This record gives sequence, C-alpha cells and structure tokens, in this order.
Amino acid sequence: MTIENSRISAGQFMFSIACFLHSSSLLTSFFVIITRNESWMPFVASIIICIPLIVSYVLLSKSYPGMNLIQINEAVFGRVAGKIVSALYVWFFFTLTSLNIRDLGTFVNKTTMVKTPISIIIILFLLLCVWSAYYGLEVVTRYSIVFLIISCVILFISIIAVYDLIELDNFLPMFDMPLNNYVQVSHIASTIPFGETVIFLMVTPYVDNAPKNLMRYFLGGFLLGSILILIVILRDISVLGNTIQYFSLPSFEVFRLGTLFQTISHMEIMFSILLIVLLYFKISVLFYVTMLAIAQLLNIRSYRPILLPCAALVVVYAFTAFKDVITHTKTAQETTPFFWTLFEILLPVLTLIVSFVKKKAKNKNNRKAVSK
Amino acid sequence: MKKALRIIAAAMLILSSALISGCYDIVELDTISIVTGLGIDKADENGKVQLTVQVGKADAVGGGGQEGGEASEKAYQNLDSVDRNIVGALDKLLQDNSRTLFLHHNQVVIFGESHAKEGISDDIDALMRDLHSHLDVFVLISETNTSEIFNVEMELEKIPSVGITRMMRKKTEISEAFGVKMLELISKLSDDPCTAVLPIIKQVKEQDTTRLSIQGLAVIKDDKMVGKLTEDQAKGYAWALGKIKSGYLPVNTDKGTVELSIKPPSREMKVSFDKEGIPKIKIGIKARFIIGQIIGFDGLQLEEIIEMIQKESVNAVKDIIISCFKETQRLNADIFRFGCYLNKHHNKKWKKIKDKWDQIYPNLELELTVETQIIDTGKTSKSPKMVGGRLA
Repeated sequence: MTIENSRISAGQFMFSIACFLHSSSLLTSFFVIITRNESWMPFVASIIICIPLIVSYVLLSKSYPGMNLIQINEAVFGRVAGKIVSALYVWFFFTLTSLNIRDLGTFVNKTTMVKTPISIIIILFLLLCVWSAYYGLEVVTRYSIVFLIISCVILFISIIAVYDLIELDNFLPMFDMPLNNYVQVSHIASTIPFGETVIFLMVTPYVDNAPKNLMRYFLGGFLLGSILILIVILRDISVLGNTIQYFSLPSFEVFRLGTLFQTISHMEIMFSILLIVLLYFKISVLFYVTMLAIAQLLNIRSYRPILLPCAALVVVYAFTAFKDVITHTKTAQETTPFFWTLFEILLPVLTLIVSFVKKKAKNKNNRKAVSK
Repeated sequence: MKKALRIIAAAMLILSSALISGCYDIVELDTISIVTGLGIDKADENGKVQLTVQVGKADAVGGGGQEGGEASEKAYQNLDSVDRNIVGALDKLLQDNSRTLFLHHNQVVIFGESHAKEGISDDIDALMRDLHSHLDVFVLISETNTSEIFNVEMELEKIPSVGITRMMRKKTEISEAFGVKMLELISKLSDDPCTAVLPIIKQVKEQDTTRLSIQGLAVIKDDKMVGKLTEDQAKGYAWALGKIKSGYLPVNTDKGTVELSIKPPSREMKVSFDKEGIPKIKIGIKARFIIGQIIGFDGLQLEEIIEMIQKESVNAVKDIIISCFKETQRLNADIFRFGCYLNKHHNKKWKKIKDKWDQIYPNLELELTVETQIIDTGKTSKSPKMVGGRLA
C-alpha cells in the first residue's frame, strides 16, 4: 500500500532540493551575527562537510529501494524501536514546519505588513500549503523550477543594483576571530539549511528511476542550492561589510540600498516577493512531508483527512514554539543545531550502519547455511 | 453543480485573501506627512535633544491646481520638538499631529555641531532600528541650529531638505569622499580606530538673502566631533584617498598661473614596518590633468609651459594633502583610515600596535609620491600670449 501515488521526475527532485535550500538564504542572520564579514568561510566549510552527509542519505535510500524514511526505520530497527524513531522524526518535521511558518510570519510582519496580525498571515499562508499538499507530491514540487528561476532573476537584478556599493575590502581581515566561532557557524550552517534535506528521504521512493539517478540529482540539487546561498552571503557581506552584524535581515537591507539609475530605488518589495515565493515552497514541502510521515507512521490509507487538523496544530505550535525573535535567534544559535544533529546526522548514519551490519550478518548466515 | 460550487469557493477564497490580508497596513496619502529631512540638535535644556522634522507638502510641490496666485505658500513645514532623545521627540510629534510622520522618503539627516560634539552614536542607533528609515540618506553636520538650516529658502528648490540632497549629489560628483551616507557612517563608526568625516553645511549671509553652502568636513572620532577641515583640506582628503573625480587645481609658477581640470587619479598604498613594528605609510598618486586656463607665461613655448606645470603641480597636490594630513595629526584622528587598512592587510602587526595607535598616529610618517601628467590641453593648444600665438 502506498500513500502517495504520483511520481516526480529526477529533475524536479533536484530543483526541489535546490529551491528548498535557497529559501534558507533568508535566514543568514543566525550566523552572520557570529562571524560577521567572514561568514562565507565557515559556510563553504560546511558545504564540504555536508557532501558525505548527503552521500550517506543517498546510500541509505538506495539500500532500501522503494521505501521512505519511516518505512526504512521500521525495516532497520524493527517494529517497536522503528516506530519510536519514526515518531521522533515526525516531531522533527512538525517542528520544522512550525518554525518556518513562524519565521515567515515575523518576516512579513517586519518587512511589509507591520500592523497586520501575524495570525492572519500565517493562517492564510498555511491554507495555501494545505491546498497544494491535498493534491500530492507532484503539485507540491511542480513549481520548484519556476520559483528557482524567479529567485535567480531577482538575485541577479539585486547584484546589478548594488554593484556600486560592493567593496571587496569588506572581506578583510580574514581569520580574525577565535576558532570556536568558525566551528559554531559551520555547525549551524550544516544543520539549519543543509541537514534539513533529510526530509527528502521521505520522497525519494517516488522519484522516477529512483535508485539509479538518485546520487547525481541529490548532490546536484544540494550543490546548486548551497552555491546560491553562498552568492547571497557574498553579496550581503560585500555590500554591508562590518555592519552586517547589526541587521536581523541583512538581505532586506541590501535590497533597500539597491538602486538602478536613481529612478528605481528602495527595492525591498522584491525581497518580499522572494521571501513569500521561497518560503511558500519550503513550507509546503515541509508540510506535505510531515503529513506523509504521520500517515505512514499511523498506517492511514491517505493523509488527506488529517491535513486541516494538523494545519491547525501547526499554527498553534508556531505561536508557542518560541516567545520572541530574540529567543528564536538565541536558540537557533545555541540549542537547535545540537537537536537537529540528532535527526540529520546521528540517526541517519546510525541507521545506515545498522543496516550494513544487518546485511553482513544476513550474508554470513546465508553462507553458513550454504556451507552446512 | 459541483463545478459551480468550486468556482464560488475559489472566488470567495481569492476575494477574502484580497480583502483581509492588506487592510491593516493601508496607508492613505492624505493621512501621512512625508518627512524629507531630520535635524538633530542639542536642546537648551540640559541633556535633552531637539528634533526638527521637515515635512513636504505634496500639493504645494506639485504646483497643480490654480496657476500662480499661491506661489508664496511654502511647500514645506518644519516641526520641532524637544525630548529626552529622538525616539521620544518623534513620539511627541506623532501625538501632536493630525497626520502620521512617514519616514520612508527621508533624504537627509543633519546633526547640529554642538550636539555632534557630544556624540552621535545613540541617535544613529535609533535611526537604524526604525523600520522605515533607510541607510542611503546623506548625513551632514550643520554649524548652526538645524532648524535655521531647514528654514533657508532656496531659489530653485521648493523644499530645503530636498535641495540639500541635490547639493550633496553635486558634491559627490566632485568626490565620493564628500558625500557620506548612513551606511558608510555606521560602518566607519563600528570600525577600529573609529573615525569618520561628515560634510559641513552652513548659512552664508549675503546682503539681503541667506543661502546654504556645503563646505569643509567635520572630523568625527569615537562618535564625537573633534574638529573641522577647511574646504582645501577636504580636497586634500579626497586626493589622499584617490577619490577625486573633477574640479580644478590652481598651480602657481614664477611665470604665471594655470588652472588644471582634475581627472580621476590612480592611487596605491603600501606600508612598511620598522624594527619596533611602527608602520610607515607610502602613498603613490598618479594624477591626470587637462589644462583649463593659462594665465601669463608670456613668450614661452607650450612644451616649456607643460614641463613647468608638471613639476609645480606635483608640489601643489602634495601641499594640499600634507596640509590635511598635518591637521588630522593635530586632531589625532585617523580619517584616512590607515589603521583600518593595517587591520585588513597586516592584521597580525596591527594587533601589536593597536592600543598605541593614538600615540603613533600624530608622529606617523607619510611618504608621498605624486606623479602628474597633462593629458590634454583642452580645445586649444596655444594661447594668444605664447610664442607664435600672436604676431610679434
């Protein structure tokens, strides 16, 4: 029995990952506060660190073809332990969805609609996500390439618009901070945007020609997305320089400074477009995956009946997840990366190891049986 | 039936999202007053701040409606308020006003000199934090109270603060170093050593009118204004940074005077350290000029004149740079940001001398090499008084 019947092409899968990652370029303030104008260095480091991680995700998916993460857990850890691990994952997906929707609410509140109550923004937005999740994976990921093109065009225009303000001196001095800061930022960067791609293990079985092409497209999407974020970070640093540490939304300030021929200036509306388009994609993917995981965990035939009740829970969770922006940033810097490490690095790697050991043992048994 | 229901549902959804998502943040033009300039001064009352807000009147600027007639009506209004700080003062103005102050289109922030001498960082914090304020506003220092500056009528501009912005744009055409925007100021104030310059605006009284003039630079150190540079010294500052784009340089020789039109120079900077780690700065400037006017030089060949000018213009450029450098050494304010350069390019050595920088800077050695080149003579090559120019 499969809950999801539609299939997506490998290309769609790749662009979905890239788009999903690119949406995190709005969240750079978590770590630019710590390493300021040197943030790009630990960021590049974390891209390199995450490549083996992505490879291990793909290996995991390849060794259990046709199974999503929840099913893999059950196959590897057995019925009871597998359910417990899966329940943890469901909590993780759920939290990610809520945190992201709350982020969206605060950003829209901060940048364009100041007086609008945050609940109205969040509820309207989530209704849209419910709507797209209702029609399944194909609909959720269909527009990834369009969104990616839109955001690349906006990125390109913004670079032209701030070209006069770019100062390469802003990248200096290098290696001016204690090593701890770099390690902390690499950790944040590899868990908050990159490791979140673990959610795509839920959709890998529905990709066309899944086991064969997976490695290429998963890594391709990952690199495409992370390089786009890197460009955003480089642009922000080269424009804002040492002042980057002050702003809670560095990209927003950069867009504000952008001018094209004196007539077109104050381009923050483009930032808002980017924000809404990209976060819509990220949240709808997250929401869809959460629903899929819940349905799989509870062995329900379809996730559709639980969409609306769960959306209501997400809204409530989004409001109670953290008290204010300050706590949010603080936890994102200090606590969340350690929590997320469990789900994004430790558990998948453990699953992979256990599955290897199991297979080996099985082979040995088989051989023993044959030799007997 | 089902299809009709769907269409109705879709229409309702779209309608509701259109209707309920935006109305909270609706801004009607007739409920706001558009702020075009902010002035911050020290109030007479101790420890308080006087905020002057210039508000443009849209209908008067537009000039539409009746022709002529109401030409005498001012296109702007100045609002004053005194409070503990600028946020408090803004709040006071909001409460006493029929319209909301709209800071989105603010173009210029002016600090009064007496206020700037006590520090500007705290005000900048408020201006940065405010959601509507932009980082690309010009920042200036005024010699007099800013409310006086905002009241000086301009012949061609209807709103003084808009006029000031246009004047600043013209200034930056001469040199980027003269126009300081909020982002640059914040960036400089968060660097170490923390120094910046801001252009000075003053009133010039002539017989029966007053006009505005932007001349010279105010030197800011550790967020306080510590001194001033004259217009010539300010030019020296721009020269030393290699950021001068136009303008004229007078060169005097024994035989006559030349006005040279300045073309963008190239500039490079090197640093050498002695045994104790004390840096020595080397600046090399390659200046390019076009002759703007030749006065005197009777009976000389053009080649001779150019040779003379080339020699003398080197000294002229050196003089204005050195005069500026000496003044900053006297003020002990590293406005050329040599310290930042060292921090960026010689990080390890800088860390050793960082704490002593205040003692090092007044005695810092500057090696200046200037090369000049006359690239063109303008539309003409000879002038009537030169050899061959006049039948003599």
